[in-house]
Amino acid sequence: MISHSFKHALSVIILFSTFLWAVPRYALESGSSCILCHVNPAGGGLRNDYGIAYGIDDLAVRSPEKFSSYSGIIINYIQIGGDVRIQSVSKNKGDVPSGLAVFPMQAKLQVKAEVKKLTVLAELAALQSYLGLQLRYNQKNVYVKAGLAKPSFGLNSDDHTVFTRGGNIRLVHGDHREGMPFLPTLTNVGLIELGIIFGDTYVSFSRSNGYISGEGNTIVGRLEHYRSIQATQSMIGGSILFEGDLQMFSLFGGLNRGRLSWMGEVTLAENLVESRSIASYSELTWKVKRGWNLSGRIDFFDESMKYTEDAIRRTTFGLNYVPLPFVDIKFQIRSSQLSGSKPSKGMEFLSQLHLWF
Amino acid sequence: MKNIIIIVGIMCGFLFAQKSELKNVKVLPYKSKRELVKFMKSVVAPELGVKCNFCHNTLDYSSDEKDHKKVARQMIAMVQQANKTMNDLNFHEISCWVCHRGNNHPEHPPKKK
Repeated sequence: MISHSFKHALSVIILFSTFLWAVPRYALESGSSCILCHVNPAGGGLRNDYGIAYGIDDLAVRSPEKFSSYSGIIINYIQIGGDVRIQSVSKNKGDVPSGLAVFPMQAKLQVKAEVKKLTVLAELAALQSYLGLQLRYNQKNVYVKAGLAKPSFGLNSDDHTVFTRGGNIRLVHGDHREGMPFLPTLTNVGLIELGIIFGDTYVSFSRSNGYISGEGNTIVGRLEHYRSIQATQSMIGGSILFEGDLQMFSLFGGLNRGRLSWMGEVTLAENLVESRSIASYSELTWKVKRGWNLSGRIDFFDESMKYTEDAIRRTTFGLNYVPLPFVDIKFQIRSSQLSGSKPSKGMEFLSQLHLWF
Repeated sequence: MKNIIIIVGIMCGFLFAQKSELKNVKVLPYKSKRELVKFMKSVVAPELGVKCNFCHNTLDYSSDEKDHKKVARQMIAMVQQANKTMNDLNFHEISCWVCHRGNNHPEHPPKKK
């Protein structure tokens, strides 16, 4: 039996879950930015040749020969791709199950065309009924991107519920915010972006229409640097965002050696609410073997650093199983702890089937 | 759910109907992008100790804008030629490692004083 409030929360998730970013851990393990695998330099969505081959050869437990010639190309230099995610969520209150639901979360088609140095990327989000369009002019290690898109801020985690991104869409634990403002409800905005690649350093600056509040302009700067020292891969980066009175700063990084990877981020926001807000994210992943990953994550959010009663910490354990190329299955168990004497709202169990091509 | 079924249907159609289309590949004998990327990842990158962006413009892998790519193409042609010649001599196949040993520039013996 699904409670009314839980149904309502789910309907909001279904309606507003939109863009999901790439997996930054793959970028860390590969020692290069999202550009290595994705058509969009900001990551996420349609993969390039390297990304498709990486998905077939490095991610899946088994790679049938049938997929060996897959490229996504339909006609000369026109590539098509898609992304479908189906999610199930169940919750317990104490030891009592209080809800279970299976729902489509994302169904997206993307088309890329290349004409000399111009790359055009169009997308249709079928569930959310929105369009995206990016025109990118590439010149050696510099690109200029313009169109309807999202600015790239911070560590673009693929899970929009981490507190450094959007956190909980509905306030499930109280009256305070539960995450930074990068909710999946935010839509594409008119944007122009300049990107520069200096060896293993990636820099981007963008100016767009108001991304978070929908008013004024948003200016975002982002820098990330990758370094390999023998078998250890490292990444460090920072990001800033200005939109009206809102100012945000993010510092992120990661380390990978062999089967272990750690990624973390701290984000500060001035004037998101009164005074300063802080969110942090730390995730350790163990690649058990190809196609099997276990992870543990702690993320934290404090709406106002002035007070101690409004902080929330969430602990998450996850399993990621990739049985075949283009198929990704995720399981998560998570629990939130509130500051002060407020009781926890029980465990949450999530699973996601992700199909892409 | 109808949208999901339509998109999954399109996905299956493409997955089984696709043919690889290589762009600006001049000396390597591969027929699919997967084989090509596999060779780059498992042979060229580790044997030279470099990442993709050493030779490629990662915004457009097929582009010849970087001089390192042009040099690499000639080097690969040289290795192919060497293997062709040595095939008659019953030598083991050679690769970048023979000279580069994990460095982007092969090391030379120290000069005698």
